[in-house]
Amino acid sequence: MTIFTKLTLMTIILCPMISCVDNTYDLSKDIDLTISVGGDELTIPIGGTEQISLAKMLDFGDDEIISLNEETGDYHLKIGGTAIDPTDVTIDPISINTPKMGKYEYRFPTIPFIPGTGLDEISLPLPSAEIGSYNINKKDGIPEEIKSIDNIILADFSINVKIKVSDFAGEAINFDCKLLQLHLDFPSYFISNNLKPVEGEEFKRYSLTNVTIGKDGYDVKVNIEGVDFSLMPEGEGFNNGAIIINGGLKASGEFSVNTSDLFAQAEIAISLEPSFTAMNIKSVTGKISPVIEIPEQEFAIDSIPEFLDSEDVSLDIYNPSINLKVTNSIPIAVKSYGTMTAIKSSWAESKTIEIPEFVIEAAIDGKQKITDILFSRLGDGASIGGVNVTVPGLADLLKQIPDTISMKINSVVKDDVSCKINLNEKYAISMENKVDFPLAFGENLKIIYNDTIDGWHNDIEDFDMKVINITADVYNSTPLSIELVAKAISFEKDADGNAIVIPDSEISVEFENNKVIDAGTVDNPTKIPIKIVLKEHKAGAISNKLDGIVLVINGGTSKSIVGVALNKEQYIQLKDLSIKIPGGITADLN
Amino acid sequence: MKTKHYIYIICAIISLSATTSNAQSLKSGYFLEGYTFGHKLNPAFMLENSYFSIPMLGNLKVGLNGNLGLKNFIYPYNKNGYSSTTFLSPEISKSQFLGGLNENNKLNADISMSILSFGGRNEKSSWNFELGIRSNTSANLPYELFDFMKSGMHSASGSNYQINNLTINTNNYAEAAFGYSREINDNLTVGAKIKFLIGIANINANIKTMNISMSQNEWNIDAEGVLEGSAKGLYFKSDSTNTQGQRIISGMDIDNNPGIGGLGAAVDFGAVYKMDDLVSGLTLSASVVDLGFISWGSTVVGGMQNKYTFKGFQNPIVIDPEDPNDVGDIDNQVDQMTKDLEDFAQFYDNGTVASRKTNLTTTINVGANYEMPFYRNLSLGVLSSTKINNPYTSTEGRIFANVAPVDWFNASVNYCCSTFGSSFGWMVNFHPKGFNFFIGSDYTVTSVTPQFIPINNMNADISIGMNITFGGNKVDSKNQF
Repeated sequence: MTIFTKLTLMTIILCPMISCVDNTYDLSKDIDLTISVGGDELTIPIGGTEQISLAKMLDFGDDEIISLNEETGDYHLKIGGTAIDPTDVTIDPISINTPKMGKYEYRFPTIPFIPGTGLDEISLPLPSAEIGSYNINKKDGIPEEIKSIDNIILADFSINVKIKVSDFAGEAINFDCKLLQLHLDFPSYFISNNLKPVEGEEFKRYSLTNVTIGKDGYDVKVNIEGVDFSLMPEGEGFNNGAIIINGGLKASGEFSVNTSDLFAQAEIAISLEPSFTAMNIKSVTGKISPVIEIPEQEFAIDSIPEFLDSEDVSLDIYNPSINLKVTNSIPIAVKSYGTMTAIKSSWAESKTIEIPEFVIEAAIDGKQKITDILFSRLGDGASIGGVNVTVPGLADLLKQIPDTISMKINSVVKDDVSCKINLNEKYAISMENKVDFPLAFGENLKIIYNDTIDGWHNDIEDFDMKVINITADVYNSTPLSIELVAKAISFEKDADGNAIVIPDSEISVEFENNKVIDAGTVDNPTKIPIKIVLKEHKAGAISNKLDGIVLVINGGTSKSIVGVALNKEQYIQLKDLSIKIPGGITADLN
Repeated sequence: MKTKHYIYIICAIISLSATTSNAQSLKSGYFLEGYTFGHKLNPAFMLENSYFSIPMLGNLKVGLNGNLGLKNFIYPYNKNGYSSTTFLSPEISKSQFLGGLNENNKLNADISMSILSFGGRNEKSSWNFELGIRSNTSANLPYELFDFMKSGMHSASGSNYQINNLTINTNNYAEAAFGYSREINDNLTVGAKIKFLIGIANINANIKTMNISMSQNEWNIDAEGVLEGSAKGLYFKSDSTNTQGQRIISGMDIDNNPGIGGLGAAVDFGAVYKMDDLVSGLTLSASVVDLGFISWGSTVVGGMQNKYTFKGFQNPIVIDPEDPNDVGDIDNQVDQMTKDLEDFAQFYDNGTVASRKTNLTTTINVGANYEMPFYRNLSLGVLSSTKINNPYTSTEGRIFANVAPVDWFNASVNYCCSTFGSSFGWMVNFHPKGFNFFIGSDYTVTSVTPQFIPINNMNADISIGMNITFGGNKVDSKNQF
């Protein structure tokens, strides 16, 4: 074997059998398991949301002041339904002690005694004469509320006339006489169905015919219902707070006696003695001005939703209103006006606005009257038959929802119209207040609301991402234009348990194309593409800290869409939501 | 589990790790005289001596082939205390990773063992008989699969991937072969071999096509595939059904009556022609090996034709975390998405078919050997070897330097360029009278990790054999080459 052969043999045998050990591939050492997946343009379709109702988005709670009007679907700001203590009104009774009216006696001429003439009965005329007079001047005990009186109605009042027949000696006769007719003439201001006007005369007459008068005499009772002060001469009636009633009664008629009874008593006289019963006034018709003091009303506003409660919120409620349902049993219209005062603990001063004059309608025919009053910014929106009262300052009062609103109503009875009021009867004005108006806004609305989307940290802490782009098409059918600002938040909490905002120097969050989502309508929602860019400026900030974003939602209105109430059909919806992570996701699986 | 079952399970495990091509015998020995099992490469190769093999040790070959290797997935790093990193590291560029891959990335694993073999030789002819088992497992991993993993969504307008023929296949059978070769004249020798094949198990899982598209608003995956399993007593395990009532395949098992899964036949034929009349010392040879099939009996068939679309989540944003009725929680949807993806990857039981035929991987070898005129014991050879079995078809060209310094020893070194990359081969063959021992490798690992894992393409094999030779004087090697 030659040397060449031997070398060839050795080369053939040994060379291929020797493999090189490459220590750079030593698998016993740690292998870096940092991986990057997803690609340079990794975009993850996230999908879309359902239609997010305003109630859900703005977190209306069931126990809060925002409630749904089932009939219209509108969201209302609703407080109350509070009944306040009724205001009672009673006019004190008036009782007048009636004076004595005197007694009238008329002696008939001596009747000639003609026995056997066969003339049984003779007629004796009773000439007209005043049988009594009175002067009533009642000043004390007249309620101050009574400013004038047109007439009064009396309770069980009558004028009585005692008729007696006697001889000249004054002894009662012991036989019956007959009063063929008797006319009692009353002043015309007396109101009584028993009194008949006499044509051409200024008095009213009460007449009796064929009444037998025994030895005990005869009582005439004339019921008087009332007194019409308008028929009294000047100076009488209601004058300077006094009731002045002057006058007298006249009588005339014809009398007959049986001559056979006159055997020994040919001279007779008749006496008429009028008198009043107690004059108790049942009701007064006139101008009456009772004092009505309505208690101050207060609305406490609890559970204000967060989106309305921020100090930065400036509500421009399109037509805020306060409803006042007044039940009035007083037959007097009441002029009212007042003030509303809002108080909030965070305000240095309370705010007060004027309520212009309005009228609480009077009860009619004894039936209480309900007046449905709506104080509103625009003077619009009262129920059918209700009363709109324009209170321009109401919107200013509610620019921020106060803690309480107090309402002071001052009432003045409308005394330019006569009314009839029963004395000693309890009248009442009761009120029930309610705040219930649709949440519609004017063009100066400014709502600020924070919403947090978090819980990301556990999912992303193992992934290194430099930039996260969140894109979506936002559909807005609400009348609110929404401006969005976002901040990154850390999973770490502060002492109060609130998430810590990550400074922009570490993670910035910006809206790249649109940050304002214009208002829309249910029929024509606006579609706005948005792009949120979370950018890491400090290495590892996203993976080490980021837990989510806090969205600062600045709500406003578009000029073209004002006065549209928030409605349950309105929604915000995100479609085609996707997350783009340029450069992909780097995960440290070590 | 019974022993028989373990065999099948081993086969299945192999099928999950790689696929085998068909390394029956050591190609490095193609031009070596005295290589007892040269008839496996070309049935026209005549035996040097009669022989019988030492049972189980006559011709054992274990090999891996692949056109990708550890270096494609692990990269030296030396940063932050780490020695290496993976192909998914952000430090590894797309071009760096994907540039090292092929359109079809193949892994083959092969076990070939001769249980019993013997042969005889006379003046003009030789014959041989062999009983052996072979297990071939292959996998094809398309480039697009790795492109998807590495590149992901690389375009803002969307990215699309079409992954075709993601396949795993295992074929396991026993063969009984009888070969015969004869010198027709001084120049020409022909040979043939007939093989009777006993199928043990064949499993083929093939995702024919998988389309992945990713855009900003939608991700889509649709895939179509087939799963076929042939083995006696093989059945699909299933725990649930899909919405169409099809059984979802959760695994495979063999019932208590395993046996022969299929029968088949194959032939080899070849020829050797000495060109001494034209060029002294030049010998040409060609062979076709494993031209045949196995007809499998009852075959379980599964399929998949699934489409999965992800358009995002419903209500992915929790508006009110304290509201139990708030549906904006994606945890359940993520769980559902995970389940949907699991379902997407499921094969469904499509029942059984009565029979199924699989072709063997046929190999065509064409070689030429030239004895150096200045030293007749040194020869140079070239061998083209093509294996036909889509999608695992591979070709290689190999140049040889063979030396036979003494009668009882020869050796070869060779270098090949193939579908699986380039590699060195070598073989030493001791064939003194009465004994033959050989060892060699067609794919020598040139670079390994300290854990002896090949770093470059996953090409590694070893073949070893010990046989007893007998039958008088050896035939002059020059009769063959």
